[in-house]
This record gives sequence, C-alpha cells and structure tokens, in this order.
Amino acid sequence: MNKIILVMAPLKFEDNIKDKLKDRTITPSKDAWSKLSSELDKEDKEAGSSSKLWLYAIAASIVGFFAVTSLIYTNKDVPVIKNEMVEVSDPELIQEKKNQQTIDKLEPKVEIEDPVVKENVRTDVATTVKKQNTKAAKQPEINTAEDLPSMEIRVANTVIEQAEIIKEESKDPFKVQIEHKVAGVIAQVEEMEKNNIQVTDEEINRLLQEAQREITTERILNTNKVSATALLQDVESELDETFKQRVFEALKAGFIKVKEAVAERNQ
Amino acid sequence: MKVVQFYNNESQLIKKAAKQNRDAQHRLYEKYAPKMLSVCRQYIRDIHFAEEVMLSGFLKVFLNLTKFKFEGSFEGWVRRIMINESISFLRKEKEIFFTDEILNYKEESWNNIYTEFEVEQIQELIDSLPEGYRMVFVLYAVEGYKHNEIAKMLGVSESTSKTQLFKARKLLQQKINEQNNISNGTIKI
Repeated sequence: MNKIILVMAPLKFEDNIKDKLKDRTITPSKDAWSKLSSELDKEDKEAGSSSKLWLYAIAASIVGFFAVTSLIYTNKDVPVIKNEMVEVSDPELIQEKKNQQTIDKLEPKVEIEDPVVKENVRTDVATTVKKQNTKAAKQPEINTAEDLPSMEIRVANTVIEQAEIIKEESKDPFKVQIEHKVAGVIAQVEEMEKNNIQVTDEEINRLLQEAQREITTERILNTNKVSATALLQDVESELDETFKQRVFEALKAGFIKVKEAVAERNQ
Repeated sequence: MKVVQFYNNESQLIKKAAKQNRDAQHRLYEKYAPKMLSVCRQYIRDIHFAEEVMLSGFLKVFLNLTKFKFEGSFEGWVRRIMINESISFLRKEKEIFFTDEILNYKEESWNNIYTEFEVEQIQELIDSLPEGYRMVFVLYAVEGYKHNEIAKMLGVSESTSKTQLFKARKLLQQKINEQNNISNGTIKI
C-alpha cells in the first residue's frame, strides 16, 4: 500500500501519533470480563466479612462499655454498711426492756377496775417474768477471757432457754426468726463438735455476733416498715434506670446507624 | 436532549456501579475497556500483560468509584488510572533508568518529518524505544502531559523528563529514517 505523502503544511509527527493512538481501540479477550468479575466477587466477600467484623466490634465495645459502667455504678451505689453489729452497752437495760415487753404482754387483757388488784397482778407478773429472765440471764459472760471449751455447751443451753421463753411469750414472727437464728447457731456448734473440731469461745462469739447482727439488721429493716435495702435499691434502680436509659438510647442509635450503613452498602 | 440523557444515563450507571452493581459495572467495562486496553498497550509491548494491567486498572476503578466526584470526564479519570497502573507495572517488571543529562535540542528539526504512519507502524516505533524513553514520550506526545507533571508521575526531575523526551525523539527519527530508506514507493519532497 502506498503511503500518502502530504504536500501541504507538514503534519507534526507527534500530532499524527497523538491522533492515531488516542482513538485506537483494542478488543479485549473474551474471558477478560469473567476474570475481572471473579476478582470483584472476592473483594465483595472480603469487604462483607470485614464490615461484619466491624459490626461485631462496635456491638462488643458498646456492650463492654455498658457492662463496665454498670459495674462501676453498682459498686458506687451500694452503701457500705458500717457498724452492722449493734453494740449492747448495758445488758441490764436491755433485760429490763425485755421484761417490760413481756410484762405488757402477759398482763390480763380484761380490765381490772380495782387499782389495788390491778397493781398486785402486775407485780406478780413482773416478778415471775423477772425470775424467769434472771434464770435465763444467769449465763456466763461470753466475752470473758477465762471461758473454757466446755462453756460452749452452757452457752448453747442458755440460748435455748432464752429462745423457749421468748417462744412462750409470743409468736411474733420476728421472734420466730430469732429462734431460727439461734437454732442455726446451735446446730453449727453441734456440727463442729461432731466433727471433732475444737470450737473456741471466739468461734462461738463470732457465730452469736453474726446471728445478732442479722437479727438486728432485720429488726431495723422491719420495725419501721422501711427497708433500707429496698430504699437503696430504689435509688439505685432510679439512677441505674437513667443511666440504663441513656446507654440503651446510645446503643439503639448506634445500631440503627450501622444497620442503615449495611443496607446502603448492600444496595 | 440526547446528549443530556446520555450523560444522565452514564452518571446513573456510574452510581450503580459504585454500589457494586455487577451489571452496571459490566456495562461500563464494555464501553471503556477497548480504549483502555489501547492505552495500556502504548506502554506495554506484550498484549497479554497489557490486558492484565487493564483488568487490574478496572478493578481499581470499580473499588474506588465512590471517589469519582463527577467533576471531570469519567473517561479521563479511568485513563489516568490505567496510565498509573501501566507505569507501576513497568517499574515492577523492568529496571528503568533515567539519565539526568541535560542536553540542548531543537524541536524544529523533529517536526520536519513528512511521513504519515499507520497506527501499527507508530506502535512498532514506540515499542522499539527503551521503557524509560517510551514512558516519557507517550506521556508527553500522546497524553499531553507537561514535563513537571511527568516528573511527578515518574519521580524524576523536570530536566530528566526533558532529556528522556529528547533521546526518545532522536531514536524515533533514526528509526523513521531507516524505514524511509528501505521502504519502496516512498517519495520524499
């Protein structure tokens, strides 16, 4: 084929190259698209798994944040109950009070018009109660240093007697609870003896004090019909609720955003 | 009206392809692949390697389609990606040396070639150049980049780019003269 030679103004060689090459097309091979498509599918899968990983990571971090913050709030708001044990400074006063309670309960319900008779009855009741309680109260001081191992049995017996008296006096549920506590302590001591474990006075003290603490705590809680624990729980739940609400809102918002992003990406 | 519709159709196609719609991607590929293979072929002698580079270029196009902001022509954007892929391929496969020699040359003598070549001949001439000369020549003469742009793309100085271009032209002229001397039926005026 003869080449065409331009006689007019010469074409710049580079312009010629540019014109020819810019418009040139070369048809790709038939399987070129399938290769590209499979590469794109691979990339889609990797992107999908990485976005799922991101979702899991986001969800885990939100849950973890919520759990940690809840723990912090829970630990913060639980009040440390100090001085759980109610110190009994004057046993005599307490005994006097008990006596009075018993006397009040044992007093005849029927009104006695004659004041002298009434007073006599009251005195008799008081004397009886005092005798009973004195007998029951005649127990060795638990906290004295000279307590011997055999004292544990005497202590246990004394406790039983007291429990019986209290039982006779009233079937008050609170007193029933005391009975249970005392019985529990006795059972623990007996168990230890059975197992040939040497039960020291300190151990008995500890058990009794623990029972006393529990009783006192429950008395405090129940006497005024106000539950400190319930109060605390209420406050805690309020605070927690506010915080919970906030966290749930944040979690919900985050989840919605992630959901929308995934939906858009999949379209 | 038709042009506006066409443009709207293509931008919709691009948006769908950006969302990894395979059908939209296929349509874009069918439209631009022949031209982009030609672009890659300008830099890479072997057609099979050129096709591989073209496919890897399209993979990048479709994975980064969200970055296209519809501010210039889509073809120009794709073409730029193909050129970068071709240069990366050549750098990876071949050791390309660029000389920093500064030379004085005259452009006027270069443009006194009165011969028109067919596309295949032009490609042959370009293929005969070493990789370094070829890259600079094609970027300057075919793509229309300036020396400062070429210098940035290839990581060389402007003077190196000019030197490479001069040497490429010199070599091409030599080859053309050889062809003119041996070919039959060619008359020089």
